[in-house]
Amino acid sequence: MTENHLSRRKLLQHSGAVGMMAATQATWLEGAEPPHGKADSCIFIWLGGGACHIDTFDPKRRGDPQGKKAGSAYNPIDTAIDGVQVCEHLPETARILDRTVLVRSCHHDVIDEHAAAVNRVHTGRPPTGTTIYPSIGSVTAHQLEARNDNVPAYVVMGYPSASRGPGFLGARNSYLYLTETSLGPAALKRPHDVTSVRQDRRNTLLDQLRSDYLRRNSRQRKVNNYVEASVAGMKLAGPEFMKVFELETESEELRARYGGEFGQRCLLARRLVQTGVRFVEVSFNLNFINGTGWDTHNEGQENQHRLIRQLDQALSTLIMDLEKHKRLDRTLVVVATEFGRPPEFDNRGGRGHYSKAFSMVLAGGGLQTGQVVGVTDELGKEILQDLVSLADFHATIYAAMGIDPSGLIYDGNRPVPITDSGTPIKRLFTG
Amino acid sequence: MIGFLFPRCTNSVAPFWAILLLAPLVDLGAMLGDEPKPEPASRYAHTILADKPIGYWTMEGPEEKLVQNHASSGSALDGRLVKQVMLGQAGPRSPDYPLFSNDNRALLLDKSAGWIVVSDPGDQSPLDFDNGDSITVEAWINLQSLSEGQHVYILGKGRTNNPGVAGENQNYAFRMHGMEGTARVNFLFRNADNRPSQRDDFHRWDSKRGLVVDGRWHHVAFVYTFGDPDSARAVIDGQPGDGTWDIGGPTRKPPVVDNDELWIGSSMGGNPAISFHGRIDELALYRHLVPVERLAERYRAVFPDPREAEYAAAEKLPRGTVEVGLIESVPAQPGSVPLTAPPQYTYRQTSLAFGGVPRKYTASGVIDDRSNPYLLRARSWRSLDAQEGGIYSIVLRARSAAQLFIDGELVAQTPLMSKNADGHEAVPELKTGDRQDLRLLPAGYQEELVSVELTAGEHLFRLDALIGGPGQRAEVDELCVAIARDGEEFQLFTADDQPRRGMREKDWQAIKKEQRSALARLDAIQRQEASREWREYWDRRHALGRELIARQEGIAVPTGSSSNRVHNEIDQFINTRLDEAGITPVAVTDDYEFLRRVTVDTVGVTPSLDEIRQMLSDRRKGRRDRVIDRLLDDPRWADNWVGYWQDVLAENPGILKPKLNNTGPFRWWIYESFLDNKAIDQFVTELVMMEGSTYDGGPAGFAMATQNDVPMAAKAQVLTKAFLGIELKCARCHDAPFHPFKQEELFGLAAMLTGKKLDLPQTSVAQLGDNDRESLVTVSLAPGATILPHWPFPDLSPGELPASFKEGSRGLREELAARLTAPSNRRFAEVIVNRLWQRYLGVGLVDPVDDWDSADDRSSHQELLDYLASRFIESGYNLKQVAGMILRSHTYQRIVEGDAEAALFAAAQRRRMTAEQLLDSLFTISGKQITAELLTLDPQGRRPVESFLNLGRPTRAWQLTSLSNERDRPALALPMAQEVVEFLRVFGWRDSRPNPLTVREETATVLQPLTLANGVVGRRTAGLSDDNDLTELALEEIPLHRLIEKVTLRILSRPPTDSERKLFAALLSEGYSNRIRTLSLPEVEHKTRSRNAVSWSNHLSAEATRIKMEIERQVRQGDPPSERLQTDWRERMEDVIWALLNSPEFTFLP
Repeated sequence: MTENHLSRRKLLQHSGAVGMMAATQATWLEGAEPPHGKADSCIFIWLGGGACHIDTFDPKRRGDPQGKKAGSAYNPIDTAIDGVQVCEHLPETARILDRTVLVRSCHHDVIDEHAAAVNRVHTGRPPTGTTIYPSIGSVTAHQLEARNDNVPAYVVMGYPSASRGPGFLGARNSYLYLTETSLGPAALKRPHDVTSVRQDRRNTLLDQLRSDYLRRNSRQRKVNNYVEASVAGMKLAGPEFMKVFELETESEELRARYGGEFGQRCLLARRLVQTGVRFVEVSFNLNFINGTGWDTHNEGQENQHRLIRQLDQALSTLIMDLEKHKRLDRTLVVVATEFGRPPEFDNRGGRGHYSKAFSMVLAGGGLQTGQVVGVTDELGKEILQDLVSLADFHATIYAAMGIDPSGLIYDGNRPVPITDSGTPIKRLFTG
Repeated sequence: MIGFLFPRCTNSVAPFWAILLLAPLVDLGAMLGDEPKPEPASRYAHTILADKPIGYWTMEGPEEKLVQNHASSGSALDGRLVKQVMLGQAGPRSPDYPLFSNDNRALLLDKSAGWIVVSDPGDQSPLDFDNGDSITVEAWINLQSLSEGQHVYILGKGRTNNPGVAGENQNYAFRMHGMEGTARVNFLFRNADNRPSQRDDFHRWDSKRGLVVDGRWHHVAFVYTFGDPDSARAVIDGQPGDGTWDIGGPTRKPPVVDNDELWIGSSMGGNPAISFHGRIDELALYRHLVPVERLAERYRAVFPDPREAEYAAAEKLPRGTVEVGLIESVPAQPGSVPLTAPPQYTYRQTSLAFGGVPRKYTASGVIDDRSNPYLLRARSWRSLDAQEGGIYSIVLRARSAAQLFIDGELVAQTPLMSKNADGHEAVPELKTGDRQDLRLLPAGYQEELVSVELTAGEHLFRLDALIGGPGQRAEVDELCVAIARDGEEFQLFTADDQPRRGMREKDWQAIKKEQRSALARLDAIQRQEASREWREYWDRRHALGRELIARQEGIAVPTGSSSNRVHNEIDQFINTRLDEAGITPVAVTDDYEFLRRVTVDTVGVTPSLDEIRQMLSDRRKGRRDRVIDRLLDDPRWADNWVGYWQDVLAENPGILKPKLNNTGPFRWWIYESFLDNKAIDQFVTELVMMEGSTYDGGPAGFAMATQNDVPMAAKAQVLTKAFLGIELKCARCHDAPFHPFKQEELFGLAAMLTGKKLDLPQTSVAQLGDNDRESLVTVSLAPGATILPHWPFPDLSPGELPASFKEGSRGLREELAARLTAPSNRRFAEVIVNRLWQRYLGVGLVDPVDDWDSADDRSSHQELLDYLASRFIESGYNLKQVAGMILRSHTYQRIVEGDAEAALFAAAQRRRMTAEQLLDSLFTISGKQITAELLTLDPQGRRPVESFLNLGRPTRAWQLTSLSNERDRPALALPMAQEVVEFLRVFGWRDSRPNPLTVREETATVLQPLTLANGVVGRRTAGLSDDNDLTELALEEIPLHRLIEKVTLRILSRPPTDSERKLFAALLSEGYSNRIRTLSLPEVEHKTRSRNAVSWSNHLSAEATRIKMEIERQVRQGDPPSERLQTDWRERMEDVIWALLNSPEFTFLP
């Protein structure tokens, strides 16, 4: 047993006690403050399954799925950024690409299992056996909270998952989720057969039972906290926040421009951000569109273009809609995925997994957009320039939102830096 | 003569073996080589030797390390045994195989891949075959298993992976190949080009016909002349036949020839995948073509008439029952297990309907695995009287291959389950069968419907069902046989004199429920029987513990505390401490509050109306103690402990492919341990030993920690935290900064669990960098450092352990378990009683209970802790003994009064029900089922258990699990289970548990009351649907005030207050007298949700997504309201129920 047994209290008193991880933390720029972006919200679009970079944002020479000739499956087109091309199924996004930054040099080393890669991209670091790291959404919620007391800080449109969870940050930094825009968030939406008359009746009954109970049990912190939470909950389930989910109040024309369910999610994301939600994750893996979603093994490749077109429609509409609402500068839009896909085709004309180089997209958020970060080789397999690690990518998002990527969060008494020595991509920030 | 036999042998000096061959082949006894050999006496041997083989291995040999060659080439071609080879096993014998004696012996090659080596005598030996040479090879074989696509070696020359020879140097190989469900004769050689990694240099031949792997002996032979691809022929069981060449195709090229060895039973270094598994006898190799007609004559077999055999085997089978035998280690082929095969386990039931089978247990009574596959064989007599003869329809339903025999005759069968399940299949249509009286065929099931004529009299039914198979889960959940007389409804097949059962959905649900409890009873008996010696060992250990306590000076119970608020010794300790602090303890709760608190604390749900009534009607003194005794005896005690230990032990099964720190679902072992009230030291020992089933619920599941670089370090951390209150988490990567522990201590324990020294991986060492800043963390071990197994806490468990503690001598794990649990290790007993205390009082005597080094004050109740620990050891580590003491104490039964009074236990703490207790209470109140889907993403059972678990259909909260699969595919959602999981998660239950935890996060979040108010679980409780017990309550013919009383009692376990009576009566009196609607329909058929045919194999289809989204919508709707109540009144009643459930009084314990 060691001689120098430090009590927890002593440790916390220790000035500059930042623990072991911090000791390894390189400052992002010698002698400089980390860049402090001006975005106040983030819409994190998730292309679950692993979107093929060379079939979307990093086009290469044409290949042939049937002839098993390696390469992109589609032709490239020019964009609003000079000399930068994207795939032909992204025409609308191409037109406004100057509002975005293409990061073509993302990479990590997990390909065998989706869950592990999803976790890597959501937490920005490899897992360890002794703790559960929070997702980028939960860290943001923890650091910034909601912009409005009556709304949640973090909303997920997709299925609940461990990778999206708060990890050691605890339930308060978890998400509110919904699996379909028309269903709304499960716990918030009044059951269909409970009319407002019934709800009022219920509330009247409950008020009396609750105040009787409180009278009998005063001076109890746990009870008080629970009652406070239920009052706050009622407010959350009340009209102010629930109105956000009424997409039908938007014009038919705008809704049509956003497109299908994924588009409607993007529209809802805009509304959520407007109302004060900090971080919205929008999952786009509706696998009935092409069978496999973005995980285009085998036959999944055949109709991948339909997915890409939906992405194009919804993403470009979202960016322009945010701009119209004067929120684009303050809303960072991220298009993320767990990994890319190789230029080669499998036996049934689809693609496997590839993580040594892949693309993610940033838009708005007050960044210096209209740039491309990173260059890959002729088939998108090797990164030739500007490697961006997941930690760097996370650091860029955090910095854009004014969060110090080397700040500390605590797992009990263990200090953990927000990113593992991640460095924001410097040229995306002014000054 | 030499030239004739061996054309390539032109050397003027005849090699030694050639000389031997010059001897006349007449006197078989005299010619066998350079030393006398026992004569192969059988008639069969004479036939073989007459054809002049160059190698003949009869497998009779007495010597243990040798297989003798009985051909004239002699001992030079004797075989040497390698690894697991068993001689002296039964070969083909009379009378079934009349060419053989009744004691003929064979060799057995077991699964662990043994083989026999015959050395090549040198260049141009008789074992070498070149172009122009003819080869004949034959053997009797009895395969134990052969999977589809598998090739196993009977005999092969070359390709041994021996050093010093070319790779892939297959001169010739005589093999069996699993193909389309049969075993084909397969011949392989490599041509002399033998270009590296040039696959086409192999030439492979398969017979068109094959044999069924059926547990019987078969004769196989092959003839071929090298250089003449058309000359290949096989003979199988007396039937000559053709075949086809593949890979490099037919060739005239010569084979590769060298001096590599000839192996029998394996190849390629003993690779188990290509090794023969089963028996081989009478193996012979010739350098000429033995005429196929002669080879055909080698096979003679006589089998008894199947009907007679069937009856003979069922001679002792009693009437009026179905006898079920489970036979392990069977081939993955239908129809391959002889009637005489002895089952490992036999039991009886009343029907040919199987919702499950009994578990298997190890000698320590923990859940074990059966072989995969195994055979379920069920037999029953059924007698038909004179009027009952006639035409019957019979339906057989099974997942994989099953066969139904009546009187020995095969009448119906289902094929092997298809193996392809990659996600791209179409969603199967859920068939109603051709008949409305049959429930829907479950997804992944196959059925056959046949028509048979059954005469009056007795008939013997036999069902043989293959359960599982390679790469598939071995599960039984819907296997059945149903029978219908012409023009009548289908009934499940039941034995004579057993009640008849229909085959509709509700019949099946009823029979499944009955079987569940019958199986639980069988399992309990089996556990006890299997573990008798193990329990005797524990009895001895507990006696030693009692002796130890008796020898020690007892802890004096303080007397004379100022308060008379004392029930037992616990209160004396507590009150004395309160006296010192000048605090007066508060009074005890009333009986209603007491009953609610103690019922939730012991059995995990709120009390029923009956339980309340029972307590109130007990007018004798001490009724609270009787309530406690009843509850401690209640089997639901086990349910209430599983969730706790799942957290503490980080039980973390993943239903889809391994994620971080996944374990097996050892929840079932936890459950059974508490059901049996297993002593805690025994519980811990079994956990540390990690034996039994990994994926099906045994403690071996604890050994797993997927994606973890040192799983045993993770386990050591769990164990010390759980049972010693020592937190070694930080020591995983560096010396712990907040604790007095070094990394070496954790890894010493990890090495004990591993059973050998450990090398510290790079990934388990913190990188400190060379930053100037002084780090608080120190690393005293370097990556790659070697740590020897050692017990690092000499203070806790000193000295040598008594020998009796290590009785099993199962190595370091057993020693570790003994050190953890020995009575001399007081810390262990203290930690456990402290855990109990924390569970019942809300805060431990030492707190936190799992990290004693962080406790602020460890001395405040040290005497009480000591006292309880001694009582615990004395009781034989019986948790219920100490639990009873605590529950009976005044201290436990005190009322809650603000927060301050709870300090030092003057009053009780306010505690919220756990997530599991809340959920289970809600379902107890409504009497509904949790109705979640089967917890698996592969309900068809077509994927391997290593990556697709099936955790069954949950009936209690602890059985749920994380559904998260990080794929976001609607088709992979389990919408019904999802709602339940989300409810639990919101209230602090962890859907995944990569790390150990004792006290969950208790922050009240907005989602908690919201989920209860609006979520599906709450809605299902408050909604008066036809399957809600509260609906029945509302339909009772009682005055309104009685209804209000009953509903309040049922939900809050107390009568309504006056104001509540008034409030509810005002709302419900209107329309009360005519609330009940008389329905014109005789009975409303309960609507059942559409069954789900989506599985991993088809989840990528659009249809799968559509189905799942539809189910999700249905789930969100809740259960349909009962038509039996007037809508307006029903809604008001629902609102009252809703208000009662949503009051904080429901969520918090009294």
